[in-house]
Amino acid sequence: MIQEAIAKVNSGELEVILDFSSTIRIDTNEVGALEELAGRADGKSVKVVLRAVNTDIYRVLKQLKLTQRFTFVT
Amino acid sequence: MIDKAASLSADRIAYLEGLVRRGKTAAAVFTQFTQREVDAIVKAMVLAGLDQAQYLARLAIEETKLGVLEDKAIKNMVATEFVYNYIRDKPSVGVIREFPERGLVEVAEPIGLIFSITPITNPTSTVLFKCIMAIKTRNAVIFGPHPKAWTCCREAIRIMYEAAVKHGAPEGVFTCLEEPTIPDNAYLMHHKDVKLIDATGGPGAVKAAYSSGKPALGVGAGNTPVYLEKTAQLDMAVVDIITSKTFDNGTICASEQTVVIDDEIYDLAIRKFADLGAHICNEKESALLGRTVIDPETGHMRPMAVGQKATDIARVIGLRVKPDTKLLIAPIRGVGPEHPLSVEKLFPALAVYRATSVDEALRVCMDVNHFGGLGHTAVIFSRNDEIIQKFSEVIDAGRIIVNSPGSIGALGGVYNDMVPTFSFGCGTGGGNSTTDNVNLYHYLNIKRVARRTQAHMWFRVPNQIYFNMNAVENLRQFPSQSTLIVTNPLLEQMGHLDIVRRAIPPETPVRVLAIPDAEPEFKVVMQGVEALNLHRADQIVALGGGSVIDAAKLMKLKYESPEADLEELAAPFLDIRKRVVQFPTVKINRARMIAIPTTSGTGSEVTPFAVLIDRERGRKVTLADYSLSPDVAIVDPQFVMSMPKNLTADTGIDCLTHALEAGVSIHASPYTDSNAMQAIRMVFKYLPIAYENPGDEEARSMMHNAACIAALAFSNASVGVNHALAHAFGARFGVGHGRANALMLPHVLAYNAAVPTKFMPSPNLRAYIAHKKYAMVADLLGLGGDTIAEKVKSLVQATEQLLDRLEIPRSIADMGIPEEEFERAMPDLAKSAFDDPSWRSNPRMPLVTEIVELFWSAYRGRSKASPAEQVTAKEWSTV
Repeated sequence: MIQEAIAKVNSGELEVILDFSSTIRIDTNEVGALEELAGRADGKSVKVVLRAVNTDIYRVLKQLKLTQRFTFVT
Repeated sequence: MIDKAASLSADRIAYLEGLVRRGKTAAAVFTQFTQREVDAIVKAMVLAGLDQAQYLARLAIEETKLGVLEDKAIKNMVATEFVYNYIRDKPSVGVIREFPERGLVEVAEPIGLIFSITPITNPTSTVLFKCIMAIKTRNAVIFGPHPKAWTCCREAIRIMYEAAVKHGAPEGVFTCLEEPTIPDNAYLMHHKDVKLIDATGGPGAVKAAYSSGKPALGVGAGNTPVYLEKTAQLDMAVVDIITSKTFDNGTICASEQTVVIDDEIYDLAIRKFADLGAHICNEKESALLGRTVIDPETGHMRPMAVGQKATDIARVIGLRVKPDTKLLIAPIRGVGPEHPLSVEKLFPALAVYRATSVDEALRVCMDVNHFGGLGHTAVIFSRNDEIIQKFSEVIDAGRIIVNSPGSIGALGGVYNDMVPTFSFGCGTGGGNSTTDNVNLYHYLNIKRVARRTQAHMWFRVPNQIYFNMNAVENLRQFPSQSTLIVTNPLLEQMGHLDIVRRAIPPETPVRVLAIPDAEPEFKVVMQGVEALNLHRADQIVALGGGSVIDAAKLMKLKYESPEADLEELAAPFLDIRKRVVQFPTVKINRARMIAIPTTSGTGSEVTPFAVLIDRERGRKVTLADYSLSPDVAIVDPQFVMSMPKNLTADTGIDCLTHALEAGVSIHASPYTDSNAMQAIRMVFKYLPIAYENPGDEEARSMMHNAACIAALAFSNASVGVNHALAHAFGARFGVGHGRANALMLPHVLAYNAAVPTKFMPSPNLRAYIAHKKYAMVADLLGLGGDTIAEKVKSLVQATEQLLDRLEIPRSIADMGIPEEEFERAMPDLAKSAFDDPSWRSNPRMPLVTEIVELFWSAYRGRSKASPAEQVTAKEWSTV
């Protein structure tokens, strides 16, 4: 899912939405991918929206100071 | 960044940043894990560690050249098996402890990324221990092993890491510094994303950790004193000491360093050491040992000796010993720099000292303890519990090991029930933040979830209350061998005393003590005590107003408990259950107290309060305790039928104030409310009648009961700011208590009904309800009004009307007090009112400026600001 989003950013889309509604946990690789996605999106002024992120995952992103780099929707 | 880290190259910094990033990510991801998952990973790691215990021990020996293979293998097994045994069933994720009866829950929060320094002396066991602790608590660790133990540590970390990740732990949860240096350590210790430093190592590393400004667990150096006391089981002690001091060639910092032996058993003990393989140095050999293994420049042990066998040390320094020598023992005559062997020696050499008394032994042990080993470990062998107790009091050590080996004992879980560890907290003595055996709880931020609790409340009243006309006849039912009636001369003249005397059974010897009709002084109280003692009284009948009854309460207190210090018992308190000063429970005399009030206001016949006046210092003190409450109250209206009109009015308003303040008190309860509301209803109905028709028996009777009922309420709910203002004003201007209350009352009602500037903290209140309570009173009195504000306004108006009807001056100005004089008094009035404890149960916390405003409102009279105007929030009047 994240790799697809990276591809969309690379292809020039202005907004990318990732749906986390069926994701209950993320691992270190996915964190790395999200960091990469955020970096690429920042470079191209792309808005990255994370939908339905549960509180456990949000906490992980918060601890890694990644939340300010995404837009969260329920 | 500190200087040491400034020497790092850009590449090295990038490398360190990479380690931090990995660890930080792993720690964040780890927060999602459950207890079950964590425990499964821990078990897999423990099994892997156990499986590789000997392999890692061999690696450690090969690399460090310190210690004993077999012992290092045992340490690796303790670090896995014993530690696991301790932590296996301990919750470390989410809720870890619950105290339902206290409304407390503890929730575990991982710390995050830990930078951990590990030592050369116990390298692999320390790594195994810390890895297991970290996973159990969902933390990530960057390890900085001692450079001379790096290879074996890295291998231990690898084994732990692979086992952990294989069973689901986040990647990057453990990393190990490649070619660690002091600048690396400094950089990581100061890194913002490193949340905790766990430094087990030399004093330098520990000091650096604590100096970093970050939370740190550091372990201080040891210098373990041992007291071998004459009652000890000597054979066991000698074996234990040898076992401990030779364990891993003495590398554990908790191992024994100086054994202080009682003179009575010294020679025998030394023989036993020798029999079991110790070489006892003569004076010359001791000197040789001291100057070779201890560096005379630094006063510390030389690295070449650390962790070496006794025979190897002996060979190197030219000491001839038997080939099977386990331990070198050197007698010393003191402790300090001039006695080099009295320092820490992490090798199999032991100093011994002959002590000629327990005091000397304890002194020398303290000297050793303070000579480089503060806060660490101490050992005693003794069967004398008193000496063990004394030893543990005077020695500053986180671990006092009794009748067991120091090094293995301190590790915990083998010889005792201490927590297994490889990291000894040494408390402030050792410059550490804890004296604990470091364990999983030190790797957690423990959050306390504290639910609101409700303080237990009470409703305490005298055992018996008799009321209505001629209730005094009930005195007949109380047998007494000797009764003292306390009253005042006026009541004697009025014939009230005779009525009481007639009601007491004729066979009862009765004496009378007439005291002044004024708040009691200490000397008056002591006159009463003298009379009680003289007549060996078993019953006190207090006939009078509040002053007489208060005096009798204090007489009873001092009679029953002569040591009671009235001044001390008057000490202020916030919560009667937590008060500092306790009223005496030991009583040398016992006397029943029966209170018969002759005014209808104070309610002293049922209250737990007594006021004492200190004329010399010009102040009043209030004593409060339920033990002061009279045993019996007789509320007989015949004694108030002749009360003067102004006294009727003033005491009646005092009663109303009691009820209104108890009603809105933060300590109000349904029990006190029922009394307060009933008293208010009775006052509004009967006080005007009693005032206007003093001979109206029903009105007098009802007002007498109302005063008692209001007192039942405020005895348990207390009063409020009205009383604080009245006490200050009344004392300053010599105005009676009831009248002073009356002057403040309408203003205080409006004040409490408004939105508070400052709320009074109270766990028993779920919302601010004073205005609603007043509205309830208005409803009870049928005063009308649709909204709460209107009802409050009605109550204030009704109170004003009542005061008018009682012909009470409606302002302080009306009392003839000039404005300039009142203004001059204001600072003292405000201070005095603020110091008064009464307001502490008021629903609204009065600011000093508000107290001043209230005084001025009372000075000017009728409130210009009606409560409805003061209520600013719309919902305040409609909720």
